[in-house]
Amino acid sequence: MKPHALNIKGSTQPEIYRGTVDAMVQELQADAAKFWQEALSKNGPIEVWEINGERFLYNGNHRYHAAVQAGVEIPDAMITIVDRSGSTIPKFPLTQLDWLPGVK
Amino acid sequence: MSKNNGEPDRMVGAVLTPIERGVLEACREVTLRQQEMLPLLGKALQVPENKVFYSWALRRCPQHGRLEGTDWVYFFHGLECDLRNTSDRRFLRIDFGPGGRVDTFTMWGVLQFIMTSLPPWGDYPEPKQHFAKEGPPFDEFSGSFEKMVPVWESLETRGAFERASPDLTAFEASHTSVGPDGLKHVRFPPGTSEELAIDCSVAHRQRLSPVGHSLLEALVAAHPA
Repeated sequence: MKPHALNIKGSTQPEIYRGTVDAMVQELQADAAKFWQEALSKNGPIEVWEINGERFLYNGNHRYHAAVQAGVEIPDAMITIVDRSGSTIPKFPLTQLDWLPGVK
Repeated sequence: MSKNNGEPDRMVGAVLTPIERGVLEACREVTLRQQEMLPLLGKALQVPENKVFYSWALRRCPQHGRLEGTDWVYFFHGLECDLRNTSDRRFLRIDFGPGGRVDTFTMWGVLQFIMTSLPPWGDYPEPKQHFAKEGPPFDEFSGSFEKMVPVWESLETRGAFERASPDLTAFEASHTSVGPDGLKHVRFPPGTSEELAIDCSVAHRQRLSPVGHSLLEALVAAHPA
């Protein structure tokens, strides 16, 4: 699945660490299959909350952005869409995330 | 590997390799340290201990901060919280379980703990050397995931771990389908609380099983301090 095909509108957390994303991009470019296998074991699937028809990253924010930046697909098995319609969790548009220096 | 009555075969403990012993002991210590640190995290967030996980999971607290009066800083991400000691670089990843409990752990969290743990916490020199990607000094990223996998799988085969909540895992599975897009879609029944939905996301996490505890008891008996 191409990351953009997920139609992600935003995230449930406002901050993204540039260094973490960059390091993941390097790993993806070196061996994408190994990266995804390890990432699933370490941090679980990329979890997307579908809230009233719109999709927001809940878990796996850095992995999603790394896949976008690296221009690689995300294996379908790494993604879970959870219908959380009605949730009042804070939401932040992708274009307004705060990109911080360093690693998380 | 257990006898028919569910009691672990004590001989199993005798044949654990030193590295497997170290990892199993680290699993126990991770649980203890998570329980030790949770009240400090609760104090920092000004919530009861059993609400710490949900505070983050529902984004009702700061993502990062300092534990007052200590050298520890915290950083929530995903369904976990990283704790880092800014003085000695000890590192503990709290892998929350259902209900916000902290008797659960992940392979990666245990590896990170092994690579960074120092007195006054336990030290694991032999596992550290075994798992290290490069020489010291070690940090939370120094451990080799690839080297950890076979050790972890060996302990799993021995029955040392169990899932945090098979019931919740089954509940989520019963409300999961694969959509035309090829992705897994979870749709809980109406009225499912946000806490329960979040619990399902961590229900697969592992904890020490009765066999795992018995193996540790056998190790203590075989190698008294």
